[in-house]
Amino acid sequence: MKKALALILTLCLLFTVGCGGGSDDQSGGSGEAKDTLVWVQQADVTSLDPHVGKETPAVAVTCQIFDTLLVMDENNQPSPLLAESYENVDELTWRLKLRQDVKFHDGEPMTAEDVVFSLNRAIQSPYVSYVVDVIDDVTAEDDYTVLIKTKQPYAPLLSNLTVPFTAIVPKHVVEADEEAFRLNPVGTGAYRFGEWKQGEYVKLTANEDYFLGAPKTANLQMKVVPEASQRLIALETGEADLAYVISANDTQRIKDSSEIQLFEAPSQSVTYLTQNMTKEYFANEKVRQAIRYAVDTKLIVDSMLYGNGQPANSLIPISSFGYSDKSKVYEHNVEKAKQLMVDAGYPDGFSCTLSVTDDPVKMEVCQVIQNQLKEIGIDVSIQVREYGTWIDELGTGSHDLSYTGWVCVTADADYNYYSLYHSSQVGYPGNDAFLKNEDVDRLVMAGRETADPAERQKDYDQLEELLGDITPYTPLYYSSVNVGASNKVEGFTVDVNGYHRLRNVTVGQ
Amino acid sequence: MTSKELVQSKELVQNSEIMRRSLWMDAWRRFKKNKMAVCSLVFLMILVLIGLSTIVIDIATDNAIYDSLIIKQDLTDRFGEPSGAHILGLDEFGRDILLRILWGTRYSLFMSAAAIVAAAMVGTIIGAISGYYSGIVDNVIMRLMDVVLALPYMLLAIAIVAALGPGLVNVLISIAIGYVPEFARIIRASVLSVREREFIEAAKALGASDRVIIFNQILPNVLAPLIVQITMAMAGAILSIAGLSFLGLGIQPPLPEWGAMLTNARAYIRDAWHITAFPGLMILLTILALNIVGDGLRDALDPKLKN
Repeated sequence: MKKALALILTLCLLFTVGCGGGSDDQSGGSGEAKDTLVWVQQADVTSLDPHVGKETPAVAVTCQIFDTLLVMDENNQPSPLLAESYENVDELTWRLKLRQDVKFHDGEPMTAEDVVFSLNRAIQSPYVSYVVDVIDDVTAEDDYTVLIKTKQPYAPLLSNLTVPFTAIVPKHVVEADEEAFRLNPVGTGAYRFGEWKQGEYVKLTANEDYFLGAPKTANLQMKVVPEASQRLIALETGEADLAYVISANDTQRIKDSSEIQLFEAPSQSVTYLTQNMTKEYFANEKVRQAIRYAVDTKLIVDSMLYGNGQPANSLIPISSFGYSDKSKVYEHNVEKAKQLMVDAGYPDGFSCTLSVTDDPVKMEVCQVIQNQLKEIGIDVSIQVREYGTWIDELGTGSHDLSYTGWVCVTADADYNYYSLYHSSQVGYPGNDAFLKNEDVDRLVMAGRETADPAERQKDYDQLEELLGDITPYTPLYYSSVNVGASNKVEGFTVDVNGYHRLRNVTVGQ
Repeated sequence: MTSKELVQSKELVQNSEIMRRSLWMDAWRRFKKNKMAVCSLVFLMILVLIGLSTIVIDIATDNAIYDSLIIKQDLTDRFGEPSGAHILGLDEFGRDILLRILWGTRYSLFMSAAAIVAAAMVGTIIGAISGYYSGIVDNVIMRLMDVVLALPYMLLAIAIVAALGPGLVNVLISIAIGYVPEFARIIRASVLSVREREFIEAAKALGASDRVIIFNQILPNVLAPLIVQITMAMAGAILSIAGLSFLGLGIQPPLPEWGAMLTNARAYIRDAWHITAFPGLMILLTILALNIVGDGLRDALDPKLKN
């Protein structure tokens, strides 16, 4: 009897713990809008140094603190930000005029010297160098004019300068004490850095002297909430005003709710399976084609992503410059896939691993792929990897199959083609299929070094036709970016890369 | 040895067998009185039967049923609510939850049993040696065991799996290693108390070797605490297997392990209650049953509680 009672009491306790932890009321004072906006995101900042922390969760914070020379406008075209105008002097040289009213958070004006310093610093940073390593030399013509020379003609340079990893940092602060700068970043952005408690939160305060006008909400706070369903709960209880990266299965719940709204946009990111071509099975072109026929991308998008995305036939986002409709379409066809496996010499299939990072949705999609590949005899064992281990595996080429994604930050196909297909980029830089093909290299470089957009498009069409049969990757889908927000949030716009700038956002009481 | 002595010793053996038999009979009589414990034992027996029959089915049909019903996905029919055709509903990949739970019995029950039996065997030998020889041997062995015990159990298991990589066998090893010191300690304590008894002295006087004394004289007398500990530890092991699978370190998808079923389902807990509730309930019931049986056995085997 005593035991039964103890059991009941324990259960009661469990339930109360489970149901507790409600919202703590953030509102204080009266007035039109709240003075603090709280957003929850999936991971912590990796580094507050914009030339180091290039992961989306880091940039989501640092893009409030720092600005870039140029910024993407709503049509995905580079437009002025810190640079007020730009001109192409010759095919290797660009001249940028800087705004003269920009001040760093410590009150010092931003000059050409800071730009030269920042771009050189980015070029030397092993983390982000690939975005700007085409730059040969940066010089200051006068206090507010910068001259950029590239090593070879490079059409997408302006797009690359919109990438947040090319942010402008204050030379005098970084040179004085680099460590202190990393812990206490100083930028030109709409928000000043406040406080960072690792693994928990980052607090930011408004920069009243911002050159585009003071931000509308006085304080920002980013909280780390790794579990997607918990982020939604934080939104529902009012603990957060914005929740980044809502899980696909929760989007319907938001659409049904009258308290919260969903912001959605097609993203520039593509998700794909990498096939390590240094491994015996995947060196075989027929095996790679068989995998493409076997994987039913439409089914994955419709069921696992609830239609939040679009099946992909290439690794170039549709909205990017250089997207080609010449990509070979592999309709789901198990019979054809089986035949290809026989032709390849593996009628009984083989076993291999599929690596993925710890994320419920990714792991689920992998289980669907596992099931679909089983039908053609490929016995896949799913390996859940910690993020760093997963990156190292791709970098060193010890994986078989890997569930991977790439964000085309510049909205220019070169960003993906060069990193993912060029033989000089194998391993860590991005070509983790370890593709080495001279024809592919030639076309990638042609698209990179030609200035005329029509010519470039022709190169990319050819390239896509060539890649149709080689198929080093199995493109899965273009995902969409989504953000859940309380109905009181106004002025929010989605950034296609997930770098949501919050300077114009207000939250009503 | 004279013939008279031989007859006496034979009688002694017979007597002790009678004694031993009646000890277990006594225990069973006392155990039977505990209705909760008997119910739990029946429940566990049913699980064992289910586990065995699914294995037999798989062997007989050459995994045909397993491939077509247990791991085969049907993404057109996800999250089906419990209904006549699917009593416990369908999971996030459109697979029948009831069948998956039945097929998952083998992992939870037999794997934990295998791990615990392995741990018990190793632990018993270590504990017996340590308790019997005492002195420096005892000290060295038990301090080593203390080192293992000092690490939180789950942390140790995670560390071992992380080092060896996930998978059935590695999970077994990691769980077995963690439970060895517990068994060693319990056996050592029992051995220490049995060692000083007269019949051991008698055996020594008769010139029996250490090996014979430990295995033939001491160990049969410490079986009772060992059995109780095995039942209790099994409950812990099931939870550990489920826990490791929940963390993605244990049984890998698509195998229908209960903890792995939970981890897949947790993202949908607010939309489809049934895909988390039933695997969770099975883990809860099995562990509860093992604990109640363990409690019952302890009471039944405790000589002080003789009535």
